[in-house]
Amino acid sequence: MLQISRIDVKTGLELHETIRGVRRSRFKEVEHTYIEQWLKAHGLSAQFYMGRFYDGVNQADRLRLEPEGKVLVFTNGKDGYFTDPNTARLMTVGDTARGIAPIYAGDRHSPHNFVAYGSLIASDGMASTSVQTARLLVIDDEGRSHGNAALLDTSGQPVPGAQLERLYDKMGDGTMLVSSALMRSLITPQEQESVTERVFERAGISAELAEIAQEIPQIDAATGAAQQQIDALASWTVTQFRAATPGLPGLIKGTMASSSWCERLGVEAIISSNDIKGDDGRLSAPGLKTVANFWVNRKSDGRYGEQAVGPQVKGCIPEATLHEFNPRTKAQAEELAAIASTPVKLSQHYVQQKERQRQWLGSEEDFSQQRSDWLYEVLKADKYGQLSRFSKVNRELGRYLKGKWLDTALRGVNVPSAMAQHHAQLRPWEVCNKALPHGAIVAYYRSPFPNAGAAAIAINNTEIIRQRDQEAFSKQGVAYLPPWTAKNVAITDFDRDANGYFVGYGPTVPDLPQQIRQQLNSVKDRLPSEQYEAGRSLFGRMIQQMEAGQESRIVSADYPLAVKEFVGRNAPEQKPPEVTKQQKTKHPWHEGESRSAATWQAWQATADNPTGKVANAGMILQSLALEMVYAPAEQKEGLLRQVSAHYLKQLQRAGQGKLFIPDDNWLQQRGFPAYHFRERVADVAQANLRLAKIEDPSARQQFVEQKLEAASGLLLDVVNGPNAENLQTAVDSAKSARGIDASIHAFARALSHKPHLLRQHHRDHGNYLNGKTLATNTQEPISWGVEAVNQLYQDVKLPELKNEAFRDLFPKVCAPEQEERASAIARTYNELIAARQMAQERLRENRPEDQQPTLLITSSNGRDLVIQNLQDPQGTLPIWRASGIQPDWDIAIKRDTRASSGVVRFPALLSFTTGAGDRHTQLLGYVAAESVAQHHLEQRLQQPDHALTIQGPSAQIRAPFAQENDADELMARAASFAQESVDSISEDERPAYLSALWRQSDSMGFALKQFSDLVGDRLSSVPEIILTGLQHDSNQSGQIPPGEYMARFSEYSYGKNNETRTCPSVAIVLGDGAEQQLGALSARSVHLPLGTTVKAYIAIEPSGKTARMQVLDLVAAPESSQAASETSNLIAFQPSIESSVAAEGCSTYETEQPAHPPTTYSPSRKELRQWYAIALVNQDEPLKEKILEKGQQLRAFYGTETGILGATPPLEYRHPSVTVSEQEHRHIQQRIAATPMPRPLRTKRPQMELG
Amino acid sequence: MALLPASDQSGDERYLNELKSSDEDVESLLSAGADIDQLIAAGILNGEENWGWQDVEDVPDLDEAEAAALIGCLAQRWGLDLEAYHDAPNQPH
Repeated sequence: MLQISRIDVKTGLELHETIRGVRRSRFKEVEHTYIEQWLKAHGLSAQFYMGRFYDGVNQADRLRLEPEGKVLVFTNGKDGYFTDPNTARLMTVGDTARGIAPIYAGDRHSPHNFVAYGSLIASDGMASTSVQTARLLVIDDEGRSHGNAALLDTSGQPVPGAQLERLYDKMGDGTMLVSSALMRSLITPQEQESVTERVFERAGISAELAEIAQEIPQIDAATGAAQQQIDALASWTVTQFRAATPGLPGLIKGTMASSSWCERLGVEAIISSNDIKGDDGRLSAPGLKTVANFWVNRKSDGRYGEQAVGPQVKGCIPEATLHEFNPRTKAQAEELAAIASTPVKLSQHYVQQKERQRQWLGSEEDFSQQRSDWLYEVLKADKYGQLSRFSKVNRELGRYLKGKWLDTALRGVNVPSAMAQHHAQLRPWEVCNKALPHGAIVAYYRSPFPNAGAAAIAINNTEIIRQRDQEAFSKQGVAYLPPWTAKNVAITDFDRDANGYFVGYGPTVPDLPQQIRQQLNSVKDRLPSEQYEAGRSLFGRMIQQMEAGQESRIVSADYPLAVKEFVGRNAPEQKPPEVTKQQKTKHPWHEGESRSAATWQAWQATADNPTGKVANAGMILQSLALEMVYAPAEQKEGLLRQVSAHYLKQLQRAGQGKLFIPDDNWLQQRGFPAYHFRERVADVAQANLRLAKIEDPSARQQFVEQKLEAASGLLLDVVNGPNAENLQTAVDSAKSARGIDASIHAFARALSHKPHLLRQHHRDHGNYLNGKTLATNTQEPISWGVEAVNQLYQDVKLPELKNEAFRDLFPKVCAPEQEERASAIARTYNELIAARQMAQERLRENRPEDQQPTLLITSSNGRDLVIQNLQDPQGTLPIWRASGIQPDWDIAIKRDTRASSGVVRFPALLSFTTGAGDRHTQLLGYVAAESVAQHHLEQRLQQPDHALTIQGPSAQIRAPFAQENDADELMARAASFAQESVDSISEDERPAYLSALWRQSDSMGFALKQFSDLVGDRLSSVPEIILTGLQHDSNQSGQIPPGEYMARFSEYSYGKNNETRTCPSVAIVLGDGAEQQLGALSARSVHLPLGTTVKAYIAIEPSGKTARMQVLDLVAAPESSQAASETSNLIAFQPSIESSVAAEGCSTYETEQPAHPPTTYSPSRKELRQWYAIALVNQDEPLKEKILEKGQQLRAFYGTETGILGATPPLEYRHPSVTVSEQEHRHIQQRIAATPMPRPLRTKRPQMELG
Repeated sequence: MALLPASDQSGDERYLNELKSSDEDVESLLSAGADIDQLIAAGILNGEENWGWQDVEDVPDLDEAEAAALIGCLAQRWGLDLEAYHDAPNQPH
């Protein structure tokens, strides 16, 4: 673990935080990084600092920091990393005498490497390992060569060239293969523990020692099974990594997987030379080499997940957006609107969504990614709805709802995604994604999406990899891409890129990919580009023929229109220019320039990445272009007038030299087509003049259509051509000194003829709060999708009860000292959250002054004022380290009567004595508004000649407010504090602390989040409920005898003081379903949702006025009532009670019970898993295979039913077609019955979760 | 990439924080599946800018004759044959 202190680079100040009155440095903690390994390998220790680059930071700041022991060594986008001069020298130059190699080669490219690849040095991971002496094989992945030396296998025999070709097939830009042992050493202790725990649970082995003693044979078997599972986990995992060897310069990055090739060749790793960055030629030279202390970390694993379809993609396929995406978005919004105002339904929806996410993430199998979600935990456990109408739960649900509305409006559609891996066995028109059906025709892409040409059209050929590379096929979470298509179409490499997949068409024949191969056999020796185009064009024809009823081998799947539209837009005559990765230009290190100056210069050039601006320009122009086509006919003339007038004004600017419109020579010199931008802008600008002369309405209409189409085409050419190239340049800006083409960007910006409300305001905090919707002002499919959501959005206030209604969930069981300590923890936490809230609200104001340092001036009489917006662009004023009395300073403040705004109304002039002994006076900055108000400067300095002078003040430079109050870091600090505090409470004391916290309104929320496991346990039963008012006429049931009753949570109305009042109550449910009111719920009793029907023991007190009621279980209510609907929904999705309701036929996934006992049985997925665990323990391989096959069948049926291909079914899911024999069923039942129910595992709250 | 401890944050906020605290560069974050808007929301990218409609706020309106003269003058300066261009049945681009 390395702690890196945070500093402000302008003032050199360390950033601080205050917790419980103690001020301490702020730092970032990283673990499993190369810098830790490098320091350790060389026996060094050093302090590191990190600081952010912002407007106004310059080389003068570097010159101030260096003498203070903070030398810039490497950077990571906006952040620079600093250390002492000696460590900096060793890192950048090394020390031959001491045997220390620099981290990157110490050549002229050193500053470039420490900026372009600086992020790799402190890149953290979930695990790391080091091999003392490692043999490595480096392969030239582009040249498909391993150097000149012969490769021998472990028996000393040369590996035949034909077999080596199969190895080369696996190696692409970003690939590394490692030995099984190395991969296993990266399985974390938590993963090992979880696997073992699960295997033991499935085998029915208790964690209790006393019981273990009786189960030794089972334990041995389970231990072996657990080890097998750990090995399997290591075997199928593909993970992002960083690697290096301290003896050689250079860092290795990419994705790695285990491969038997390593064992065969007797090496620890096989590395593509393209993975190696910043070396001196030794590490990346192809061939075998032996290195010391080979270090590797594991960062994040590939997984089959989902990817939201954003506006860049939607804008390229407007027809699919309109007809395929928007209806789904609308349906989601309708679903959201239907559940938004009902707490029970909203809770169910939340749990369902989270479970769906978990299924996608495969979290049951992935231990490292499990995240604590207190709301999910408590809602899932809350089978009675006891927390329904609890303000703390409502607040979180409200936040979820807001996010959900926003996500639905802006994205709405998710597609499957997978991490890309290289495989040369695939043809250019193929892909291999195991999570998608074999034979599906797909379009895949990666973000950012420059234009439609970056969508690759392919058929999913899983069979070819299964047949030819079983090892590759066994990997999880990845999809294999053919190298040419990955690089030249999808702009994808293999260092962690993930692609989204539109599944357009499914096959009706099992060997469609093979048939396609045969159909395209004639092109197999052509250029990859020609092969790819042959595939695309064949798929296009097949789609057309299918639509005409002449092609029966494919049918529509999830997104046929999207794939069809991509196929069409990539036809040679329509295809936008190809945008490939741009040539990189290394950051320069000029002669005579110091290394640190060059590094700083490169940092400055890369800190403000222009990708956001360029992408925004593209999305806005795309939207405006679509509006010109899609706008209603009656609006088009007005639109043309607006566009034409705007272009005319831009021509005026061009005439004045304020705007450059690229001419064809300029474009062609840069490799673009002759777009005729000047003619086209002028043509549209002229449209208003020409329109005025057309009187015939139909001619006018035709003219308007024609000119809008022309303007639309102009915008799309800018977006798909030069702007797309700028985007690709922008995303690589960290690695290239070549910036975006500013003139093209300025031209693209100039073409937006009106504000684009959606793009300008989609991040506003108030969206989907208090009735405010996302603003749009364009008439095109993306905006229409947003508007459809807006129409359905409703501002809801979830019903709430007072907190006291929930208090008795946890009776008081704490000692006074526990209560005191619990209160102190909650109070501190609340203070931290409040501080974060305040900072967040202030920062939302986007005050420029908050991004810059300020100067606190204190006069000799102790009065403070703050100077902000400091005016020192060259960094020469003596203010940047000011701390204490400044005897030679005079500060004069006057009113500037010509000031354009309040923030510059009171300038402060600083007079000081220079190093040469001269007096110098210049503008220092402006008095902050708070100080103006505090010292009544508006009144005191009304006259221009009045001045406030402060002589010899005390001055304190302060870091920017935004850096001192980073809202996210404040949040993280609050969370860490909560976690550390709660972790310090012993297991035995936790219930007492929960009780103490729950008894106070202010700390109930804290208790809910930090003790969600105990809260969940408590929610499995309902505390005793007190009913009152049984002596009144409202009691229709009368003085019933003690006993079990069917009772329903209800309400009744009564009149008092001429008012009708409604009171929550409990009614007895009679045999015919009718209700008879019994009594009112006491304020402090749990209020279950209205309509909840329960079996309860009720006893009226001797007074006859009150009754005690103990809820025994939920009862499914008749479906006709509203209450029943809520309750049955609750039952339907709460797995914890599925077993109790299954007998009553209420479970969603239960099949109808046949009249006669079945001869076969449909096991649930859960049963199959339990059965598998037993087979695992017994090492019954045939049985394991059989169960796996059943599991795959279940998955396939579930995928078909839900339309989510490859999704994992819920545990209770079963299907009538997936059966086992009666005998097998009995076997399952006997074994499961013999297995004790596993103890519920307490959710661990890790110190720092790693992803 | 290190995740922040789970707490008061929604899934989206947590994801944005993950992005913010990630050591990956912009290209890697995007190619791993984050979208531009998420990187802007996480403060990694800057999406704010002045736009074309703001550039022309101070540019005066021209009457018909002035507009025609401006276009004619620029066409001459740039060597454009606008008549031929806008009368072409399929404008070349």
